[in-house]
Amino acid sequence: MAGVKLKNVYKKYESAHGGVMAVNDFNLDIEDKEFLILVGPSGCGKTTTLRMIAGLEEITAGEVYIGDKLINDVQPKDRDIAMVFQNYALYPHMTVFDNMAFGLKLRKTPKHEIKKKVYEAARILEIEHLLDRKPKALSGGQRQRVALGRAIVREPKVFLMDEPLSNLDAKLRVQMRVEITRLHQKLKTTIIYVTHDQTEAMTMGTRIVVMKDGFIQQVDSPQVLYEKPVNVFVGGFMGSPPMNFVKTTVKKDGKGVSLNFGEVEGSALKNRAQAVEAKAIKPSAIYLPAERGAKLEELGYVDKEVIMGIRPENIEDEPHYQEQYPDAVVEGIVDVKEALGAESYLYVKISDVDFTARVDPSNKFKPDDEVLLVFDPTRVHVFDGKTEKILPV
Amino acid sequence: MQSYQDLVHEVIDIIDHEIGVVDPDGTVLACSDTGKIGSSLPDTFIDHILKNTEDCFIIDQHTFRKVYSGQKINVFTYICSDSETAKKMLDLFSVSVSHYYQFCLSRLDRASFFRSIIMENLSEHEIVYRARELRIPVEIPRMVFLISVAGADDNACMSVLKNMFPDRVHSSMFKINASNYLLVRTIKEADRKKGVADIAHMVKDNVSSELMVDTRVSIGTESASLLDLKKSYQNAVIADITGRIFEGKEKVADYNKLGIGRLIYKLPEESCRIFLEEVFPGGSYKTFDEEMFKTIEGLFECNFNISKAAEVLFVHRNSVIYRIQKIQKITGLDVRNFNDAVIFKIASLVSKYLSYIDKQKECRI
Ligand SMILES: Nc1ncnc2c1ncn2[C@@H]1O[C@H](COP(=O)(O)OP(=O)(O)O)[C@@H](O)[C@H]1O
Ligand SMILES: [Mg+2]
Repeated sequence: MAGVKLKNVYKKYESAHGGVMAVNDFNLDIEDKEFLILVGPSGCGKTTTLRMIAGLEEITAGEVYIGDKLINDVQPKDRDIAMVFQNYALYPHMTVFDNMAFGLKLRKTPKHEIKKKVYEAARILEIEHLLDRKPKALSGGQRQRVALGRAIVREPKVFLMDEPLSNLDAKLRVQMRVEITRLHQKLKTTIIYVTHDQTEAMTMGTRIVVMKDGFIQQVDSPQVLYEKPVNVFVGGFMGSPPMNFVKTTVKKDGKGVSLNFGEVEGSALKNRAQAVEAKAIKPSAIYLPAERGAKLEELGYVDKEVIMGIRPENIEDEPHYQEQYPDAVVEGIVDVKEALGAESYLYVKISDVDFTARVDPSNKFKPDDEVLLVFDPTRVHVFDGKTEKILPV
Repeated sequence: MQSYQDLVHEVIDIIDHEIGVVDPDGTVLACSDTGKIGSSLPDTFIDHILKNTEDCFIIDQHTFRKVYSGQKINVFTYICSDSETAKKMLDLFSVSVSHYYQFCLSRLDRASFFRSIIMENLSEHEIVYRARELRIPVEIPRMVFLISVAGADDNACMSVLKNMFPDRVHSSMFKINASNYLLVRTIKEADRKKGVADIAHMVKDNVSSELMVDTRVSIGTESASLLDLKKSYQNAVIADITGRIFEGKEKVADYNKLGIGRLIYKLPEESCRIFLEEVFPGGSYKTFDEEMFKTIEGLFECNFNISKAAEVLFVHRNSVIYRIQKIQKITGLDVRNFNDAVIFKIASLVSKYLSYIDKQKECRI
């Protein structure tokens, strides 16, 4: 068992036009026995990172360690790693026992050791009673477990899993997420798990690496990623439905510092101005709590553009919020209501900008209703308009 | 031979006498008393065996039986008893041994037959004739998969493939050179439903996780008869090469899904160079960065809807527009316009192709 360390790791794929920097200055310390998740949109470099750890891809620059050992030049099969992919195939004519034993036989492991390891893995996976069965006689979930068993019997220092569940139907996927998490607790080994699915990352991970364009964006617990995203990308990527974003102008007046959108400036927006005139669009202003406003002013953002982010659950429809935050009330028009049983989403236009709000399922809203909503000003995220980085307010 | 031993192993519980298989020199190939494997029978036995003209005979309370392959004695079987029941058991066992041998033979031949079809120039007549001899149907849909693994142990790779497709009648596999293996598989209705690409992905993931090696799988075209099996293989090779040129990332290349790459791969080099110079005079494409290509890909993916493309690319809408303008400045192509976008995309593929050719030339020098 061992941790994994990546130090200034780069991967460049040469191509006709210069090349693709698939992984960029990747620095990460994965602890021994940790369950680490790499998440990000397709093409962000997750698989490349995993393959470099496995040794299936050359490292352009930087160092990779397993435990204390620098493994840049160690052959993949000598790295003590097991990989689990999405397209597993059980050997159809072999029993579950033989399926799990196969890889060990290839490695010329002594018979009694094979037996011991297979039984141990079967015990962990709770498939001891299936050892004599052939794959045909197994359910989808049981087959998945056998597939995991084939990696477990090798007792690797590190497991690498590249979207192992993405071929499964929704129900089995949810079940296997739980099983893999549980498996990690039993195995107590390091697992690096790749997924493009933020829900999967959020439900399984204790520490998540969010990647984009080959760069690490943020490394943290699901909760911190959700509550304190470092930039617009992380805010928008983690969470479903995603965070709402709108470009706003910071203003200061007697009431304090506010974020404003749906305003009309200059003559270029004449039609829009007329629309506002006709009350079709109303400008919106969210006043920040005094302390946050003061910080924003201190940072020199008054009269500048910032991006406001707000999660659907922080747009409140209950009247008591209007009393609590009278200077953060906006008027919206309901577009669509989506009821999902335990929760309900309201798609609203506020100052002609689309927002998603999570509201109580008992609401009586209908399309075209005018609604008063409160942007919880303590929960509003403020990002720099250009760099899209979070502002410390 | 391990396989005869497997047979012995299976009957050990039914027959409660020592039983075994001996080669014509008297060496024990398989035996219920595993300690005797590899040893020689006593000389007196061997002399008797060789002289005996009967098919079945008893020497010193051991019953022996000759097992033929055609006219030739293949092996002897024996049982440590001279009773009538023991003789019957030995007869049954011998039938199994004989069948097993024939089966191994045909299995061996099947793969080497396919190899000959693919790697040599067999005439149609030869193919049909040998197929009949081996009882291999000529007209049946088959697919060739080319499996490239870098640096795997030969036996291990074959062993994984054989066990993934244990059904010898429908699947044959063999090695063609240092890092390439072929899988020839008859295509059943179920395979077609599941998708041939699924099989390829399965092979790729399974081989790479069992052996910890980089694995690529290329799919040829379906061949309706043995006569066009070679073509299927050649197409798998083309899929492999074009896949490497145009879609480096994909580890599965399907000849039927090569897209424009297939066409470009067939173009004469000279035309490609002229085309590229025409679209991007002075080699301006060399100044493009990956971002620009990604932007174009994104636009194609989203039917040229800029907002959607921005979403897919995870950039701001304005960045997409900025990149589009940058491309326009360099090339004069406005990729918001479908025609221009197509030209740009083809040009980018052609440039990939040419750089592949250049690399090949470099390697040759
Ligand atoms: N073998 C390769 N050749 C060229 N480019 C590649 C190769 N593998 C990956 N890439 C590129 O590197 C980037 C990262 O890819 P990848 O690691 O597969 O991302 P992810 O797994 O996050 O989807 C992508 O732009 C991809 O096109
Ligand atoms: Mg990937």
